[in-house]
Amino acid sequence: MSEKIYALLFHLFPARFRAAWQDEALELFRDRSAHERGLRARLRLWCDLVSDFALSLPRVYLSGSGALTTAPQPGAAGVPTFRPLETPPVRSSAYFFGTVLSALAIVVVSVLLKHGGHIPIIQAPAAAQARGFTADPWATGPGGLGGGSAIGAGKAPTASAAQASGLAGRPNVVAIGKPKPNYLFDLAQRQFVLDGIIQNLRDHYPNPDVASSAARSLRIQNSLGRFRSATEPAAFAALVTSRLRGSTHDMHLEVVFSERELLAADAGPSPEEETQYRSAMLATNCTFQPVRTLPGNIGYLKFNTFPDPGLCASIAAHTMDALNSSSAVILDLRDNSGGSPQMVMFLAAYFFDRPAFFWNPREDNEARMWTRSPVPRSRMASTPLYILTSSRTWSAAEHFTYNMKMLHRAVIVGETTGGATDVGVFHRVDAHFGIGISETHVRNPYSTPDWAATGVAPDVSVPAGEALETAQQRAAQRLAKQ
Amino acid sequence: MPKRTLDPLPSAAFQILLSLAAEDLHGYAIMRQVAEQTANRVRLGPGTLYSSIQTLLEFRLIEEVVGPTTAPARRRHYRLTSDGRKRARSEAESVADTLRIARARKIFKGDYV
Repeated sequence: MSEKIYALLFHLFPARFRAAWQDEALELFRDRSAHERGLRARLRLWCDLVSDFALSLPRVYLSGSGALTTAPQPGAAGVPTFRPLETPPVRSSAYFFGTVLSALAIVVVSVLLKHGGHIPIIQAPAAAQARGFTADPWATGPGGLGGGSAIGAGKAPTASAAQASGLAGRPNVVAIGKPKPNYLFDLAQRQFVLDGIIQNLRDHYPNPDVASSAARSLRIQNSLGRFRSATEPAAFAALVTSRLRGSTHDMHLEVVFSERELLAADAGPSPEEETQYRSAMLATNCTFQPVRTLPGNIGYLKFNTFPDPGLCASIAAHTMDALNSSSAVILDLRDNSGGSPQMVMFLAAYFFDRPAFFWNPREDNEARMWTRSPVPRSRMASTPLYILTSSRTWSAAEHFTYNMKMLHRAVIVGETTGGATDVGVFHRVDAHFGIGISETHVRNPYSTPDWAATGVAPDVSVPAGEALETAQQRAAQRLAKQ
Repeated sequence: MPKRTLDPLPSAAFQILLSLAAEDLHGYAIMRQVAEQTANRVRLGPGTLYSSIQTLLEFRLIEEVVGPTTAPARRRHYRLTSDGRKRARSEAESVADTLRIARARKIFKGDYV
């Protein structure tokens, strides 16, 4: 079979050459085939044959029989000799072929220019949109890229949740401009972004030695071309994030790409956004659902954000009062997308009879990490507490859950939480890139890392849909023992 | 019609001349001999081999001879002519000159080349 293929290919040679050498060439092919067995040898044989065709075909076509030229006579010592590379005149047929090839080349180039000129250089924004990345990179809760989703965990947050969390987490919202789909992320821009990231690390990272080492590592990896594969900006952000986390072991570090333009950090929420937030909170009772009393006098409260206490403190206090006479309390955070750390402290205070330490990687002042317990009218300091979680439990809700778990104050029932990483201060690098750095100098006192990227694992692991039932049973059993 | 020249002598043609210096060989044997003398760096394909042989025949640097009686009838054998030997020697001297220059320019790290 392969001999037939080779014989067919040999027809590419001119008839005169074939007539003289085809039998010989086929004989040689047969000899090589007989001696070179095995896949590797066969592959090499065909590679040789193909390259041989490529080299010898033009030579055979372009050459003709010629007269003997004499062997070069070595020149006298010290006298340079010259050897002509090409002496024969150009054949007339060569002009024809040259013209045809030139015309062909012109046609090909014209077609490429016409149809190839509109291929978009960067398609990343569309791709990023398709993956569900939201406009707001640093909104607390699942909406932002700060939620850890950009790192490839496959947890793409939803836009509606982003809006809710963006409202809830008002103090941390970064102002977002209009979409700018044609962000040109070329090599120069990539270098600019990388330099910006390194500069921000040096300027803001709490541990200068770690920052310096991470910056050096980034530069080395960049010079080794490790980021070359990430041509899309979102992929680049994810890759740099993972490298940074690898070298610093700091899961709070996150490089963020926002499809929409990031305005200057000090832009803050606009008056319209303030009004929108206020009316949304008032319309939803600050996202606190009415307290229900389940059988066995178990108080059940579901709330989907941790709203700004400046606006919602009285509603929150009123809601907590409604839980005061419960024998056990179930807080349902399964759909809680996060919000204000101040509200975390406000609510947590009700469940302790003395100030409790609540680790907060956003906070640089240790004094502010203590709850203002006891709350004078609260009778819940020793009430059994259950917290329901799901993979949609994010950010401030994880802040609350993590500390309650570390303090053994509550039993966590449900699923591992989302693992939001939006705990740092966000620094804008360029119109679309930023970096989040946890700038706290306070050390996490717990040996268990906080929720960033990993989430908070429950004490009782059940699907989110069964969490309430399980928590109710546990609470009832515990109350029965009392 | 352009005339093929052997000045300078193409590398493949020079290797073929060298391969025939010791004994008469047929096409496949030339290919094997060339591969051997170049440490497998040069593997002549049929197109290159026979176009080179054709040229060398035309320039009478090699000639076709009757092979041994044990060989299959269709195999053609080739022998180096005296012109071919002269030409091979001339090319080898040219290479040797180049080598001397390279050595004088200290291209090689050691003195053993």
